Amino acid sequence: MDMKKWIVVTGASSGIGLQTARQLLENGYCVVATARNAQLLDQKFTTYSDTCIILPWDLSDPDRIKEYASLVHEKAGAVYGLIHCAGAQKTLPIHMLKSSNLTELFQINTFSGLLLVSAFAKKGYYMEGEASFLLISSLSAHEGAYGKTAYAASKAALEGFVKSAAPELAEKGIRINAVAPGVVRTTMVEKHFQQLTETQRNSTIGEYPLGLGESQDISNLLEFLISDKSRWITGQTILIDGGHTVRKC
Amino acid sequence: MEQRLLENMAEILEVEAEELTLDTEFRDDRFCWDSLKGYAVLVMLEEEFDAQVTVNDFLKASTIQDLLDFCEQ
Ligand SMILES: NC(=O)c1ccc[n+]([C@@H]2O[C@H](COP(=O)([O-])OP(=O)(O)OC[C@H]3O[C@@H](n4cnc5c(N)ncnc54)[C@H](OP(=O)(O)O)[C@@H]3O)[C@@H](O)[C@H]2O)c1
Repeated sequence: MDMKKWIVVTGASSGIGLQTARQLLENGYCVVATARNAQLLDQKFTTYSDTCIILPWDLSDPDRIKEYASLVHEKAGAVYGLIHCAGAQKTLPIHMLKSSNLTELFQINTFSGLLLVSAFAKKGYYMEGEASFLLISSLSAHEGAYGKTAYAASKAALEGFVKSAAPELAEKGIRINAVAPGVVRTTMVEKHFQQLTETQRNSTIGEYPLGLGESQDISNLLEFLISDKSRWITGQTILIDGGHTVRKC
Repeated sequence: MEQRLLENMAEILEVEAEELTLDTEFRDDRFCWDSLKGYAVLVMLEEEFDAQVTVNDFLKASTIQDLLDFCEQ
């Protein structure tokens, strides 16, 4: 690659975000790596000192997203891509939903995603004609994900946003897409699995004809969608689920 | 701690706290017990009482007193 192509990866300290950031670095991109845990980010990315900017930030404060974007701009210039992997999951019966749960989930899953897109779509903040923005949704927005009502809603909102944002951003030469993964083995899922019985865990695994996903299954798709190999794709939500939605029932 | 646990359990079981005692069997049919409520109890024990309970231990618990024991351990 001749010119430095900076990709902002949120949620870069763990799971899908970590794998994606590493893969992009290995393949010649430059990465702005963000999550809250500064120590963990340092630990994961110290070896990439020239091509990686470590920028710890709590993205759940919607009023500080612009400040974050201008800091990225100051350090990296116009970005080639944005991949919003930071997110949180909560399983709760509907009758227990509180505004605090909704706020917590929507702030990191939804508001930060929308506001990051808004901030990086500002003239000068993205590489014109080349930029690609990606939001991570979830299969839970597409099926009856029992107990995950608020999480599913927070992700479905991203998909609605992507469709409407695509034509507007296309005029600026930015593509925007969402990726909706099924169950991928990450810290988020391991934590959830710990609170299930063996039968419940096996039943989930049994619903995936190609087995549960690995972070790399998702990062391969994300890298494709960031690159100009996907130059004719925008406004889409791409499901990636190891055959879950087409399984034999 | 006991009162706080009863209040949290009342919220999960969709009853008033006064209807529960430490001897209440929370898996009883009158509470429409299901796996999601079980999940909610485990999360509540961890978040509200800092009690890390394994699923296997939880499956052995039947009364609210058993849950209180997890919190006091
Ligand atoms: N794993 C799955 O099965 C699955 C399926 C569908 C969709 N997804 C989605 O994929 C994305 C990545 O999930 P994952 O499984 O890789 O999760 P993970 O391993 O739990 O990683 C979540 C990442 O988000 C960061 N994060 C959380 N809150 C943040 C905040 N307020 N500010 C900045 N960073 C924050 C975390 O770092 P810090 O804690 O240090 O901030 C961490 O790096 C999420 O959006 C998730 O909803 C996952």
